[in-house]
Amino acid sequence: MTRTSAPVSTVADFERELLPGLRRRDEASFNRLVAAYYAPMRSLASTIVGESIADEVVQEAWISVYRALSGFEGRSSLKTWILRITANEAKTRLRREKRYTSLEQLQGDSGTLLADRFADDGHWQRPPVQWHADAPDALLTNAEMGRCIEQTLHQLPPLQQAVFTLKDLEGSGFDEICNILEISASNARVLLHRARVRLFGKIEHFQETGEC
Amino acid sequence: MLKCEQIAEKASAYVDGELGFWAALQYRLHLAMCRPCLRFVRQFRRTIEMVRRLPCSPVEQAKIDAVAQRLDSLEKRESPPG
Repeated sequence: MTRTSAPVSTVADFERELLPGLRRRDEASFNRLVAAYYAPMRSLASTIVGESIADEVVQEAWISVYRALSGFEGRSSLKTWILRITANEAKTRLRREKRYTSLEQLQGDSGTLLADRFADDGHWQRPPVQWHADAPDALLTNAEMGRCIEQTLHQLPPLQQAVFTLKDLEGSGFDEICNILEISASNARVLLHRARVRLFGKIEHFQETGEC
Repeated sequence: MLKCEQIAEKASAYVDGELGFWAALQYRLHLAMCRPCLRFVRQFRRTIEMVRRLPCSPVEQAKIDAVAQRLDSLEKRESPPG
């Protein structure tokens, strides 16, 4: 199973169909909602609090969703609203455990990872190496490489990981990402680029050395 | 004329189709003339595609059932009698 995101119209239709039942607190409607959105919620929560307690955060987020649903005004999609509640639940959990004390720690370093690869005149000093294969599937036949990418993704600073997951794995737009994580659009773009560059650098390193 | 360093800095905006018409044209012009940058952008795209293709473990049904049960008991506790 690989990650695929549902087309926007399908999501909108699904939510439109479900909302009346949810407002009546109909059990079957809630069960369908949980089945549809548990995975993206877990995926987001694990970027912020880590794998081990992501499920606990999602459980708490569902309680909040259930209690707050009567106040849902439809200014965003239901999914975006639920993911925002999940992100807030995860950040609250982090603060409670004092694992991150500043926004900078959540966002990660501000240095550009490729800076040392360019000469003063802005041209490549150390150009990118040619990878052994071009197609992603061919590159991923090396299981070690897959594990290395996964590990690198999980080691990214929480907000870099969250933006990358929402944009590149869940297919969310920048408007939704800003709404969910409560960050500015320019910040989201910077965090996304840093995450991608770090992943690119790791894959390149693996291609060069055979090691993660 | 863009420098290679700027090509790397704007790579995300380029692959996401967020550069305006003229900026994208300048970007493509540089790529047409610079092999290392062309390679960088191609492999930058591959990076995103590769992460998308990583297998993800499905959520266990038991976890979904656990949420449903918690919501059900919450409903019984919080809804007025009768």
